Amino acid sequence: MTLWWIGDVVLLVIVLPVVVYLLGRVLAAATSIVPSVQAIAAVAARGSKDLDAAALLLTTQDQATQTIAGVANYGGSLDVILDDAG
Amino acid sequence: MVPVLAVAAVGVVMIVAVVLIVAALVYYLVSVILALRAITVGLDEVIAGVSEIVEKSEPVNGIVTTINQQLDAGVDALEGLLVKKAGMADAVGLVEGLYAGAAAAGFRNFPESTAVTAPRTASSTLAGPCSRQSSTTSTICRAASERP
Repeated sequence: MTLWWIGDVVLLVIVLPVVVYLLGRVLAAATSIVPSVQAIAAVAARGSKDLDAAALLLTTQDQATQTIAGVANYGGSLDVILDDAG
Repeated sequence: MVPVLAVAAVGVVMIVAVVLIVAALVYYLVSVILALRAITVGLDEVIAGVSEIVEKSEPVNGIVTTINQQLDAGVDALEGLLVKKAGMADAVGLVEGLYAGAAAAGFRNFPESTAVTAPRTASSTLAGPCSRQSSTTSTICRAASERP
């Protein structure tokens, strides 16, 4: 009978607080991850939005190609003009 | 009769303790499950955002490489034309007049241009090669002096 009482006291005074403490730590760790994940998701969304202009690089590529073609034409013409002037 | 009551009391206390422990387990584990579900939802959003980033940035490397190749070709052509028409010394002097200190870097396709001593120039007046007004450089100097 006495051992049984001791067992009850151990359950209530030691086991229960230890279980609550450990589970509380696990819960705190899990809940602390949530805001971090939400912040990362927001940053990823903003980063994705910032890259919307990347599609315009195709236009930039075309513009650069046309510009260099124009420069090449001007260079060829200048070559002839300077030859004539010389 | 008394021992029976004592045994019953001990048993009730034990049952209460076990119930409390189980209740604590249920409460905290359910809370952890809810937190993990929130994390899963957040990670789904992260994966979607990162996938968009990867998708949008995929063609950037090739496009920028192509643009750089085009610009390199343009620079090569212009440098070659300048050196051909003005001569190495005047070309270096003209570039130095336009961009002070650029002569030290020389032309990319003419490594020997770094060894050329640029004619004495003033960066704002193009006094060096343009002051001599050779027939070849006069047109270039006139165009350069009219730059914005």
